[in-house]
Amino acid sequence: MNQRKPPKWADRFLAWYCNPKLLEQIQGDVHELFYWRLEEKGPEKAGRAFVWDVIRLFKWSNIKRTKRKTQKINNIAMFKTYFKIGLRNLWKQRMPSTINIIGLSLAIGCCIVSFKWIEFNTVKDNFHKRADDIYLVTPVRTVDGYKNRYGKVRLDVGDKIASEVPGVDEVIRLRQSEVKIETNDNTFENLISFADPNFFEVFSFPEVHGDVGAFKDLSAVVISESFAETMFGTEYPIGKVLRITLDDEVLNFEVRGVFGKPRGNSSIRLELIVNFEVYRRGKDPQNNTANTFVLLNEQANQQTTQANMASIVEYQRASDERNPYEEIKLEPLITMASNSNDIYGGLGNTPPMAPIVVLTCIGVFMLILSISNYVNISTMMAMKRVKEIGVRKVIGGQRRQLIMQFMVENLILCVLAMVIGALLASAFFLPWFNKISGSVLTLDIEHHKNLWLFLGALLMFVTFASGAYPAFYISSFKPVVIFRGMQRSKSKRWLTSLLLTFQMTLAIITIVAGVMFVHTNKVNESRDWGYDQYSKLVVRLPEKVTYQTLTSELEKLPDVEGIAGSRGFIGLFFDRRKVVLEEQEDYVAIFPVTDNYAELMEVRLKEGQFFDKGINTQSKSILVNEAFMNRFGLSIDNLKPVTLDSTTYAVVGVVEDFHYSSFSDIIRPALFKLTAEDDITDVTVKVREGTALTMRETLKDIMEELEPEERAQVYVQDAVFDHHFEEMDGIRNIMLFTATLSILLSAMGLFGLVSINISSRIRDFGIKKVLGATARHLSNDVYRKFAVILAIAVLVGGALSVFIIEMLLDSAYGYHESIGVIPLSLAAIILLFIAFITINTQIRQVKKMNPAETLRVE
Amino acid sequence: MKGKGTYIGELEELVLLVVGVLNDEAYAVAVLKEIKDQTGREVNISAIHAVLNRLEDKGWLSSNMGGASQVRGGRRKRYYQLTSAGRQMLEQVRSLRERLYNQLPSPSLQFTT
Repeated sequence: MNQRKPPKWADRFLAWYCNPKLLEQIQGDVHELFYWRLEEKGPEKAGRAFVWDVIRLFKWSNIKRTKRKTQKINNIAMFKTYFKIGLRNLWKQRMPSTINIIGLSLAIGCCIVSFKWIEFNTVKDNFHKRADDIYLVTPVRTVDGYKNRYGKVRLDVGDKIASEVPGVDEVIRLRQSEVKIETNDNTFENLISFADPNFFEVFSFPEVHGDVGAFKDLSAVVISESFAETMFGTEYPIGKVLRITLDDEVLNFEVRGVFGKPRGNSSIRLELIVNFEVYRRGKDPQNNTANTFVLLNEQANQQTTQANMASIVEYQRASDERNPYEEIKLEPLITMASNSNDIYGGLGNTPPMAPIVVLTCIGVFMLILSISNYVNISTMMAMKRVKEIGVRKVIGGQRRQLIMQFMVENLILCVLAMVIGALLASAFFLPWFNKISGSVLTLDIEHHKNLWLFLGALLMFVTFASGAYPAFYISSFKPVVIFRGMQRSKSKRWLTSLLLTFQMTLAIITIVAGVMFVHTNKVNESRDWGYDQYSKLVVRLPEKVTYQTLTSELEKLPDVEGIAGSRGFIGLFFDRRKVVLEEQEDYVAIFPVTDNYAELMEVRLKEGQFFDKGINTQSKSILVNEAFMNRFGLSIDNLKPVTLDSTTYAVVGVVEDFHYSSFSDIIRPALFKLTAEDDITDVTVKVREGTALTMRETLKDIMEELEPEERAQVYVQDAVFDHHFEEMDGIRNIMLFTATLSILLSAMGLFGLVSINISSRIRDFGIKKVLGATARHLSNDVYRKFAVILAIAVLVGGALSVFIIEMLLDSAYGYHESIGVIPLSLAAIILLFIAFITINTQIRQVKKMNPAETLRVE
Repeated sequence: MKGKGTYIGELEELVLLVVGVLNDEAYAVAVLKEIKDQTGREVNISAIHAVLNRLEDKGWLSSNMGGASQVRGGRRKRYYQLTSAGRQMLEQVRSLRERLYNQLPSPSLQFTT
C-alpha cells in the first residue's frame, strides 16, 4: 500500500468541525475513499477528492453538537433539582454566600439610587399619551451674528399656525408668571400658568376632582393636588374662590377642577391653570409671546410640518423687520428639556452632567467591586465541590448541564441580593440620598416600568458577569484530573489575584477621595473670606422703601456701627459685565456701592486708596481686586482707563482678593463702582459684635413696619455660603459613603478569600502545627500571599488617585490643596489596617485550632 | 402511504436497494462503490451520508458501529441493515412500478399488426 497520507490540514479541519459523535464514522469513510482513489487515480487526484469530500461534508447536520432526537431528554425536571441543590449549597456555605449577597445587595442598592436620580433628571415628559406628536415651536433668529432658537412665539403667529399649517391638530399656548394669590385665610406668591383650554386634551395629567377642562370659563381656575393641599389643607377644594392679582387688578377665580401628579416626570411645572384668554385680553398679540406647542396629526411629521411653516415665517418677516425669523423649527416635547440650553425662553432644565457622571461612576465602581468579590469567592467555593462535579460528569452529566446548574445557583443568589438591595435602597439609601441632595425620590416599584426594565437588565448582567466565569471554569475540569486530585493547578490563580488587586486599588482611590473631601471641606470652613464676614447684616430693600428712609431708621439704633448701600452684595447677588481695557476684554463681577461699602465690609486695601468720603456718586473711580490687576496685566504704577458700558473709569485702589461667590469658584476679576442712592437694592449694616442674631430680628421688625405688604429679607453676611457649605458637605458625605462601602466590600472579599484559602489548607496547617510550627510561622504563610497584592494596590491606587481625585477636586472646589503624601499614606494605612484585621480574624482561628481535629476528618 | 416522510426519492431508493444487496457489508463507502460499479454514477460521500441518515430517520434502515480496518486508521464503520419496514417499502415501490409498467401500451404490437 502506498504510504501517502491524506492532506493533513483538511483532515484536521474535518476533525475540528465535525461533531465528535459522527467523526469516527465520517473520518473513516473519507480516509478509506482516499486510499481507494490513491490506487485508482494517483495521489494528486485522490488528495483533491479528499479535500472536496471534506468541504462537502462541512454542513450543519455534521457540525451541530446536539444529539439525535432519541437522546433528547426532558430537562425541565432538572431545574427543580438544580434549584434544590442550589439552596442547599447556599445554606451549606453560609459564610461565603452571605458575603456575596451582602456585597451584591449593597452594590445593587447604590445602582438603584443612581438610576433613580439619573432617570429623574433625564427622562422627562414621555408619559403623555401623545408625547410623540407634541412639539414646541421654536423660531430661529439671528442676533449679533449668532443663530438663536427661541422657545416663545408671538401670539398672532400662534393663531396663524393653528389656522393655516396643515397637519397641526391643536395649538396650545402656555405662559407662566409669579402672582399673588389670596384666600380668606392665606396669601401666597405662586406660579400661575395661562394655558389654552384644550390643554388637557393634549397633555395627560390625571383628573382628581371636578372637571379639569373647566377653565375654558374665564372665571374658573384648576389647580394641582399638591397646591390644593397647601392652600386648603384637607378641605374639599372645588367651589373655593381665589383672589389673584394680575397686572395690578384683583380678580376672583373659582376652583373648578383638581389634577393630580402625572405618571412621569414633567418639565412643565403646573400649579394653577387659568384660561390663556385672561392673559391675552387687552394685550397686543404682536408684542406678546408665549410658549407654543403643536399637536400633529398622524399624517404629519416633524420635517413636513417644519417645511409647512414657511408661510408663517413669511408672515412674521413681513410684520417684524427688526427681529425677523429665519425659520421655524419644531422641538419634540421629549427632548425639549435636554435641549433647553439651546432654546431661549424654553421650558425645562438640562440634566446636570457632573452629578450624573459621578453617580454612574459610583454605581459602576460598586458593581465591579462586588462582582469581583463574587467571582473570586464563588470560584473558590466551587473548588470545594470539584468532587461533586467529577461524579456528575462520570455518571453522564454534560458540561452544559453543569454550567446550567451553576447558573441557576447563581441566579438564586442574585435574586436574593436584588430583593435585599431594593429594600436597602428604599429604606436607607434613598431617604439618605434625598436628604443630602434635596430631591424627592421614592421607589415606586409597582408602576415604574423603567425601573423594572433596569432591575431586569441589572439582574441579567450581574448573574452573567458574576456567574459565567466560575461556571465555565469549574465545569471544564476532566473527571480523571479531579479524582487524581490534580485540579489545584496554580495557573488560574492569576485571575483571583488580579481581581483582588483591582478591588484594593479602587478602595485606595475612594479612600483618598474621602480623605481629600473631608480635609478640603474643613480647610474651607476656616478659610479667610478676604473680608470680615462677621457682625454684618444685609437688608434687601423693597421697592417702596428708599435707602434714605431705612438709613434714618437704622441710625437711631444703638447697636448699629455702620451702614452702607449697594446693588447686589458680596456673597450672593452680583452682576457680571463686559469690561474693555485697551485691546483686552472680559466679564467682570460688578459691585455698584456707596463710598463706604468696601471699608465697612473690611475688604483689605492693598494699594492706592478707598473711595473718598462724600465723593460724588457720578465720579468715575473704581476699586478693583488683585485678580483684576493680574487678568489685565496692570500694576499700580501702570494703570490704564477701564471701559464699562461705554463709560471710562479710573482705578483708584486695589484690594486683596475676596470670596464674592462660593468656594467652588476661583476668585475672578471684580470691581467696585459708585452708585446713586436711588439704585441701591441692598443695605449692609455693621452691628456691634455679638448682636447679629438679635439685630436680625430687630431689622425684620423695622422692615415689616416700613413695608407690611412684603416679607422682610434680612441676610446674615457670615451665613451667605451656608447653602454652599451644605452642598459640599453633601458631596463629602457621598464620598465618605462610597469610601466606606468600597472598604467594606473589598474587606469582605478579602475575608472570604482568606477564609476559603485557610479552610482548604486546614490540614496543611494541622500538620505544620503538629510538627511544631509557631503561630507566627503559620500567619506568615497567609500574609505572604496577600502582601504582594496589597503592595501593588497601594502603589497603583496611589498613583491613579493623584490623577483622578485631583480632577474631581478641581471640578468641586475653586481652591484645594493638591494630594500630598499625608492623604495618600493615610489611605494606605486605613486599607492596610483593615486588611490586617480581616486576615487576622481568620488567622486567629488557625492559631486556636486543635490540629487533631483537622487531621481526624474522614 | 401518508405523510411526506414516507415518500421515497430516486437516490434514496437506489441506496436502499444497494444496502439490501450488500446485505451485511453495507456502510457508506461500500454503498458508494457499489453504486459506481452498478450504475457508473459517482455520488459524493456527503450525499451518501445524508441519504443514509434520512433513511434511518424514516425507519427503513438500522445501523450499528463495527469493523475497524487498517485503511481507515483503526476507525469503525457504521453498518446499515434493511429493516422489515424498508423491505416492505421496496416491495411497495416495486409493485407500483410493475403495475404501471404493465399498463404501458406495447409499442411492438402496434408496429407488427
